[in-house]
Amino acid sequence: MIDPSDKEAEALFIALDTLDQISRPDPDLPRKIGFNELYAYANDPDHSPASDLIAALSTSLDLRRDLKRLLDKQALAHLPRVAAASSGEVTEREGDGFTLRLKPSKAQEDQVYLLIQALDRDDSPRLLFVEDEDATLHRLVIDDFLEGEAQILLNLQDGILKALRNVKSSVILR
Amino acid sequence: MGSEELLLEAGKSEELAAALHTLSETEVNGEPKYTPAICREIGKMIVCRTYATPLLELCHLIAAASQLSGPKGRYEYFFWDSGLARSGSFYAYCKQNLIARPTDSLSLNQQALTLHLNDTNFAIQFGRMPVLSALLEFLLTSIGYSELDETLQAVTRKIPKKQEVSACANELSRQLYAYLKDHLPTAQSQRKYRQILAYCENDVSTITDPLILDFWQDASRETDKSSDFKTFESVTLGFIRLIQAVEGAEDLAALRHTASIGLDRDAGEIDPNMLSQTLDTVQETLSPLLKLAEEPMAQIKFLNKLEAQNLEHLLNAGTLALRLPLSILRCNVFAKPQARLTQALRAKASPKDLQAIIAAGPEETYQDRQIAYQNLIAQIQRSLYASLYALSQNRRREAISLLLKLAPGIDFTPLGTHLIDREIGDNVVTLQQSTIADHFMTILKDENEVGADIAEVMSQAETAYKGMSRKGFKEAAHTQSDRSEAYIEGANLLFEISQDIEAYLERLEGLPLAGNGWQAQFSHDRATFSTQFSHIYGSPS
Repeated sequence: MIDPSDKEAEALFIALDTLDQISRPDPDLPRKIGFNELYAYANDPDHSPASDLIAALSTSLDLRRDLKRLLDKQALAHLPRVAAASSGEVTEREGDGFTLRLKPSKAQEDQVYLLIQALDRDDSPRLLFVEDEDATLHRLVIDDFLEGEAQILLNLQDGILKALRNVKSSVILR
Repeated sequence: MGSEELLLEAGKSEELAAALHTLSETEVNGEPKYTPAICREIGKMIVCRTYATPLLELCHLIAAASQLSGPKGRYEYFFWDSGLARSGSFYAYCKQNLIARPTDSLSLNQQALTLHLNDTNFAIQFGRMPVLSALLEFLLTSIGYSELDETLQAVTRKIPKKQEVSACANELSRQLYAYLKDHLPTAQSQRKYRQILAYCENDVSTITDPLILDFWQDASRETDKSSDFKTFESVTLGFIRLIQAVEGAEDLAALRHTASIGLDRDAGEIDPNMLSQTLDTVQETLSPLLKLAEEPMAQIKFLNKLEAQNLEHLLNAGTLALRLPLSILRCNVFAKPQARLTQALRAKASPKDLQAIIAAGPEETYQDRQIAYQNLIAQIQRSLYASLYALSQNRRREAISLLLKLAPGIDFTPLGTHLIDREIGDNVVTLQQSTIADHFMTILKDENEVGADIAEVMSQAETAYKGMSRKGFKEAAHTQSDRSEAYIEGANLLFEISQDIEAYLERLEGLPLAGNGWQAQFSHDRATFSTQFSHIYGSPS
């Protein structure tokens, strides 16, 4: 016979049962984004983000804040907001030894070249993030940064191009 | 507690379970970053609330990692750019970085990295780093990077003082405590404890297979959505945990008594470390399965994922599997169809679809399940024989003890003749133990030297090795010398697991059954479960 108020038995049962409960997640519940995944997204150009990471970044302010802090801490360069150009759209940015330029493609009207250039630095950025005015972060992999520059073709519909043109957005090179 | 509060309480653990699940699923190049034993250690740390000391160690490690990184303060590199969370990976990372960027604030040897603070030194063992790394990953996933990174500034910006590290660890402890307060389902577990205990009238010796089935038939029909007793699996586990808790409570009480001698302890408080220690003792039967996923055994695929899953119910119950054999079998067979019903219900399946799942019944019968266990024993035997071959090919003397364990009944006398002092030329040479072992390794396959029995076992071992295509067995055996420790330790664990399965199957053999046979018992139980499933998930319209 055991006294139901037996403290040792109750404490042990609670520990065992709680461990069972937290060790067996419900497969139908949404997955929690791990920091490992966020770190890879911020740092590894070979990382292909899972759809639920992208979804979580679009809905979770906390996750976006974490990503932003991580990027700020590990950035190669910050290219801050710029004063509005006459058209109200940005075509050039500069900061921390890098310049970004947007040049329309002559061959394809619906495409634009993004030119990234290192002015006085030897670092090769592998990722570009644009934070727009509503704190959404867009990510672009820089595949070939050779001899201090890279040229990337963007489509007019690309969200990242719209964000790059926005005067209220800022850019981080990683 | 009202029904709304009950629902809230039931949902508490979901977020925490999801964070721990994410930890266990974290991968580096397709391999789990943290081993199952590490993940379990984190779970245990959380439920027993033994995280204060590990957090102090972690803060020192973060301070050290901040000094190791290229630009100082980037502790993240140490934890997320060093590969799998293994002591060897951390050692290699530290060594490489200290060679590249020597600093007076750190030193290392084979066992530990030492952080030289302004006022003291603190050594962190490489063997502790995987757990501390998992703890940080868990904290960042559950509480968030921004909040924790802010707290960690105190130890990452500069070489901190001892007092600053302690203050930082206390702050992390406070943050984790606040998080767990909202996410640990303690009240739910307490309610379960009282309900199950009341059902067996405070006497766990009355817990039997029929009593568990009766309880489930009563409790699972409660309309309350937050009921803890919907699935037969959770009910069985609840009873097993109750017996384990009551039996383990004696050990815990003894520990408390010993610790309280000469101390003015609060009689009501249970030391978290003692609780954690008792938890390990209670669940030690699970440890062979967890250890097989640890280094060095993880280098060899002794059991695949499905085989390990098939053993979980049995090993989780420990010796209670012999006391509640039918409940374990019922869990094995009926948990899957019940899980399908739960999923279908969530997906808003129609009553007709639910009834179809109930009518389809389980995928395997009790006889199938027993055959599956026998197949597992056979697979373990193959792995043991294959390990014997690998060890003998690498001239490891442990092959002899494995041979003795695998075939204790065979004729070993021919081997004995090699123990006698041997004449070499005119001299009688007394053989040293190591020489004997080495000599044995040379002759093991030679029937003329060791006799037919041993040669036959060695031939079976070779066949087993060559017939396996799993990691650790598909490469040429003589090239696997660096895995010898894994074969040796793995074989010991496999023996333990095999003995548990054999004891369980033997217990099943002597069980009185409904209708005097497994087929009749299965038919009887299938009808019982189908009826109960219909009650729980809605009768067909």
